[in-house]
Amino acid sequence: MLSTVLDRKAEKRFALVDCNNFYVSCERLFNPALMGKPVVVLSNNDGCVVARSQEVKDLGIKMGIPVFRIYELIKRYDVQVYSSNYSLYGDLSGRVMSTLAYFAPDVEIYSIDEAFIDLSGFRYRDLTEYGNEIRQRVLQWVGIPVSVGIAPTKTLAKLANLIAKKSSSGVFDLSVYPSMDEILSQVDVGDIWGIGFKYATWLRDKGINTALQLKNADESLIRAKMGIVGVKLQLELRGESCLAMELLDNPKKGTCVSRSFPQSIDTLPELKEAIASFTHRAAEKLRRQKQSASVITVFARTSPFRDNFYSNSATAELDLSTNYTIELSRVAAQLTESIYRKGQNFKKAGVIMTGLVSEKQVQGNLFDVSNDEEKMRSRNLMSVMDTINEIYGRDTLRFASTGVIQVWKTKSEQRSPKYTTCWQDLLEVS
Amino acid sequence: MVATFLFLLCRGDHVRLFEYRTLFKNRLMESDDPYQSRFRQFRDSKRHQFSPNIQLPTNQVVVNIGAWTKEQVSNLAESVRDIHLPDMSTKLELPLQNCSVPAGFPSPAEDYVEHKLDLNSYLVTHPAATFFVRTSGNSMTGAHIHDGDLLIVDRSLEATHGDIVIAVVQGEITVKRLHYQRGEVALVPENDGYKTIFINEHFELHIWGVVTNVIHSIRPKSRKKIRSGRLQ
Repeated sequence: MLSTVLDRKAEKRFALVDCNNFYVSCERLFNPALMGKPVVVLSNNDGCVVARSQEVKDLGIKMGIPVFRIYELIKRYDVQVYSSNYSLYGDLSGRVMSTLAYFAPDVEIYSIDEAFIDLSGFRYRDLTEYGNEIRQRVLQWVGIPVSVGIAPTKTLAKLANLIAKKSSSGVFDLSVYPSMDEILSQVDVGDIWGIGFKYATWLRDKGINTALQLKNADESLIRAKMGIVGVKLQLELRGESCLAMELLDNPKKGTCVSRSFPQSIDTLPELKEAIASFTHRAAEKLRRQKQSASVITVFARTSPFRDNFYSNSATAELDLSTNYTIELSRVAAQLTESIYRKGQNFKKAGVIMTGLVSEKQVQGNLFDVSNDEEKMRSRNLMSVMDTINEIYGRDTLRFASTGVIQVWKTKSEQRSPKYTTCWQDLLEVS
Repeated sequence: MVATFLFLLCRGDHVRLFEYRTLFKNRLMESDDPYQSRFRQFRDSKRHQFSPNIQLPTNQVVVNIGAWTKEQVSNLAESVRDIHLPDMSTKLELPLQNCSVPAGFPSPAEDYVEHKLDLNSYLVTHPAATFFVRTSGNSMTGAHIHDGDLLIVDRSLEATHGDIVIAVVQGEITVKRLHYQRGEVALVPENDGYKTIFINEHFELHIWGVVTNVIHSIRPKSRKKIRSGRLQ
């Protein structure tokens, strides 16, 4: 008697809710004329395809393909092309996530368009029906179609979601499906959550091609190559939950701001401008997280598709960790000078801040000559700047070192309006 | 110095008072609107009492703009409005108790201030499902929705007969009153100059959301200000 109670207690139910073609769905919500038409969304700089509507997938256009390779298809099939509009996607993602919070106490936001929900407390209900409710609610409230995969473990919920995506109902509960093994035998080992390209190749070499084969594979073999992660994966495939919900925000250990340039940069002042601008943004991020950086790295590289590929980086350790833009920019400018080479056409650059500590735990330094009043002033200056930029929009107030013309600035020519985050961009109806 | 000056102007009820008097007076003179002429009569009958009693806290310095030219004042008023440009993405909280008390002596009312009024909580019931939409055109003036008004749209509500809805017809987004009775579906404008859209099997109708509130600015100028106040 007691054992059955315990067994039941141990049994878990997870749902993975995944937005279908998320970025495209966001564009369609505010532009219903796009329904049924092929739509793609491009990456920063309008470089590659990062989201495709079903119609585009059916045309055989692959994820991540550079847009210049598919110009002809775009023309022939009148594919609608959009630059990515992250303010819009971020806002709608937040709405989807807060709608999910109505359905269960624990929601783990896994990415911009995916979340795990712990449905263990609801396992006596008909979870397929519950999944349908979730789907209906998100579609009506936010206008984004989602698929729901339900299973006893997170890894299986991921797989269930793949099946849900292909089904017409959009919901699939693997835990009530009579023959789970039959399904696992149809899943390619590379499609399993946590199996990257390297492991997939290795597993195939060992004759393990499907999820079912991995589930039944010799544990010692898996342990030897993949360690405890692999063992947990096997257990998860067997229905034993090893990966718990991750509900706490881990404090960030590093922050990186980098961009590729629409046109390459070959002069030092321009490169410095770009780096100053990235530093500015990174420092803003740090202050938002109430952290300071003690190590700063600057990197720049030319196009890997051209001859004379050049890539370099330089790192400096700060005497005193800080999130003060002026201090960070000064160091970043010196580092930039050290990696700049005349005659190189830089295509991408960035700054990485590491050694992050809480703003309040900055380690003092014996040789620190700045006084408290000065620190207070710089802190106040930054908080004034951040507040103004928050109210009036990004870069309302910025340092002259970030340049005026900004030739290196990200290109996004086809961006839709910021329908949900900007008063001037609201949807107009007549 | 400059900051203090602007701060005073921001708070200076004088500026608004001046504007109010001059602009309002001018408008009253120009218009033949029956409501306004009634108001004029009312105002004339109370001419002697009709001076708005606006009290300034005593610790505030008053800038005397009485001697300024109209142009100077309107320039100023504009700049003031710019400073006031609110960040409406955050919670707008208006405190119930609004009198400033000089430092040094605690307010006897302090213990009684219980909460603040939040316009969001008054207007938005389901934040995740609520969207703001801007109208254009005059098809709904009969329902007090004018060109440029802000509509609050709640997608979580089921549209019923008589609701004002945001609807998608043949890929076009429109705001109309929903007629949905005895199997008959139509989108009805509230202006005689526009035609009702009857939905039959040849039309695809999709309800995008239900309009719950209209925010109509009674100073149309301010909308333009916000528009041009966009800073890059």
